[in-house]
Amino acid sequence: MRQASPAALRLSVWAYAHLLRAYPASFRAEFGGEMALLFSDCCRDEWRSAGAAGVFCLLARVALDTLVSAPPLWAERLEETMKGHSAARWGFWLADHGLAMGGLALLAVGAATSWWAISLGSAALAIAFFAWVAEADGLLALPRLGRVAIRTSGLEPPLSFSVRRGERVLFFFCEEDPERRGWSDVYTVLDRPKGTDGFEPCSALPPAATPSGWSLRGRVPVDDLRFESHDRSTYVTRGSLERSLSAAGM
Amino acid sequence: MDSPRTPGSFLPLPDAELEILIALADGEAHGYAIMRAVAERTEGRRRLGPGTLYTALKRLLAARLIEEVGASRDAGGEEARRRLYRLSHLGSRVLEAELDRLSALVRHGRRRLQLLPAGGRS
Repeated sequence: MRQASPAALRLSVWAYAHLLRAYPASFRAEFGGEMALLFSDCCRDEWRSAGAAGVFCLLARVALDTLVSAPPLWAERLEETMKGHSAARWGFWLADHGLAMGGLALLAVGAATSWWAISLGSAALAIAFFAWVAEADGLLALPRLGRVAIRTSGLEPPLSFSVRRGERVLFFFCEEDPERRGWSDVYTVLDRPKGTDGFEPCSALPPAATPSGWSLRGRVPVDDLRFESHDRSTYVTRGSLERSLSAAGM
Repeated sequence: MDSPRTPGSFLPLPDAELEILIALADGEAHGYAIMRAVAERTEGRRRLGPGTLYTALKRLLAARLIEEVGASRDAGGEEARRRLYRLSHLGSRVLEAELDRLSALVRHGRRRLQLLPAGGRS
């Protein structure tokens, strides 16, 4: 068996302890200690099986895992903070486009003032661009308040999905259309109050009849909704959802 | 006050949460054991990182699908900072409902596939 390399292991554990700062303080306080312990166990395993290279590969994998898992926690915190504020609409937009808008603003300021604003603006735009490319490729799903996570089977467009809207839960599903010899191009929309005890029909299969506790609200064309699928989650854009529901009188 | 949620209202479960519930179906385990169980079950194809694992555990604890049962001791007998988790009664029912849902989805998919003409989705 290889002798442990205190340097490689210590360096990785030290780096991960710093990486943990990417998580909100409340999450770190609850799970940070255990996460550090788990990482150090994994480091030891990797060292035994693959040596220093394995340890550094593990560190790189865990850094990516942090990039993917930390933003949703921050988004949850941001959403909690903004709940009930009248500025929430602007907040959603800024949260979605803040980096690119900030970059453009800094470039405009920099053109008139100094080089540091130009550098910062260019860096912000570059990050926004790479984040956009990564999202387009489905590698990342950055927290954006302008879109709503949906519970679905993963097809795009989904055959059925449910989404929370204010105090209601909406359930959208396509029915089989014998004329098209496939699925209807219109979603039937059911709803019920949030928190009501009852069957939530969010499986991939459309229900045979309107389940009890739910009421039929109307119909929405599938093409009116914009979906975004990522490795872990599927979203519908808030704008397309609100527009299509208003057009259907909901 | 909110009424208690039914197992169906938790579905579909995200991948990581489903993997964790399956791992805990064998009995109580700490984070590292869960991670190892998932890696072994999937023959190394799925490795939960610490961030993914603990954000999922946080959600499962908040939804009361799992519960904490204390801390484990390490090999040297010292109290380690490893919390043990186990499936709650609600968690078992949700896992069962999710597995039923997936089975129904597979059956439905296979049936559709047999009905479709060659070339894909109609």
